[in-house]
Amino acid sequence: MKRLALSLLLLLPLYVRAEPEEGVAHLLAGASHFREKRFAQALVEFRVAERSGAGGEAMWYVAACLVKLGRHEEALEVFERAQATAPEARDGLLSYYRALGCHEARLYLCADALLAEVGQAGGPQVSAQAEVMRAAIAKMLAVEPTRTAIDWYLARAAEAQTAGRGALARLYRAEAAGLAARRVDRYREDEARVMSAAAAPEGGP
Amino acid sequence: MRHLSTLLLWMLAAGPAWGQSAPEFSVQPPPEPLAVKQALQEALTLQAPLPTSLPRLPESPSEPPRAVAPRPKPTKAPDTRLSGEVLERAGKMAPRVPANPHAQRSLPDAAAAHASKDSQAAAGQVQADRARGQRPPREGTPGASPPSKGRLTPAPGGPATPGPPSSPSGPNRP
Repeated sequence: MKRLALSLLLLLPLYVRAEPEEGVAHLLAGASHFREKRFAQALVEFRVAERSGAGGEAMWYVAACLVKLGRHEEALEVFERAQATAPEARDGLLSYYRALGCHEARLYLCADALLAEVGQAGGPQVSAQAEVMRAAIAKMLAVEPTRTAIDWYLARAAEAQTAGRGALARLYRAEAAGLAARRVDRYREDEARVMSAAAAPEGGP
Repeated sequence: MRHLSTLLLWMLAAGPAWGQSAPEFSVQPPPEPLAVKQALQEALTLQAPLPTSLPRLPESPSEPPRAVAPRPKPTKAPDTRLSGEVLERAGKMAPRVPANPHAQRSLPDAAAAHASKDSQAAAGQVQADRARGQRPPREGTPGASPPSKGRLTPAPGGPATPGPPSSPSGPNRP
């Protein structure tokens, strides 16, 4: 009996080894849920796919799910990680979702830069939407940003930094710097740029 | 049992080649990577939204970030606006209790006590409203309590009296 148990124990890994296609299957399941607006389920599938071999590509879709679920800051952090892990998986459509995350987190300059990349790569519907968003952002930026707004972004950056969310802090600082550059007095621009450059990763928006 | 063990050991001895060829669990062929990418892009395109609001820079240092406090989706107002259907249903259901006060007495003690508590609370609310110079809301007007509560409002300790909000022929009705 002991020999039988031992044999089974030895054989077990042969049966339960991870299938290489498992990640792909979860990506497909996630796509199906996403299509049917079941974003929470899609998020689970994409997260499983990420751990099952789909890796960085799945991370982009995890972030897209978070955008749809209204968890924008979290989405931006995942987008940053996906950019660092699998930059080749990025396309116009994913840039659009990333821009949406920026927009909803009030990172409008970040959103605008990403939307400029979308072009026709996201398809006619998405590129039309991108144009609408860019027009609205341009209209808002036609007015000189207030000092209060810049203070707000730098305060958010400090909060994020304190919470250990460095990537998010960098995004807020970059936004503050960009807005400050649009003011005649360049209010707190140097401060924002110095802090932003201190922790800038590669491949950001 | 010994034969089975021997067989298993023999299978083990056959090595990884057996391990790779024997189990045939995946009946379906693996999906093409291009097909997966296409499915993902279709799903994302289909659900690509526009932003929920127009861009607006923060105007106050204490403004919360939208990501922390997402805009709640509009939901139905609970009872402040009664639809025609609700009013119609209330009209059908309301006369049941006043017409049969004995039905209240047949309630279990716990339920009757609960209903009595509701009644006291409602009476307190009416008194408070009067003290503020407000008239109690009538049924069918904004701010009126749901009609179903009126059905379960017996007078504490006494025979059930028709609840003012629910009774179409009650004392508060003109």
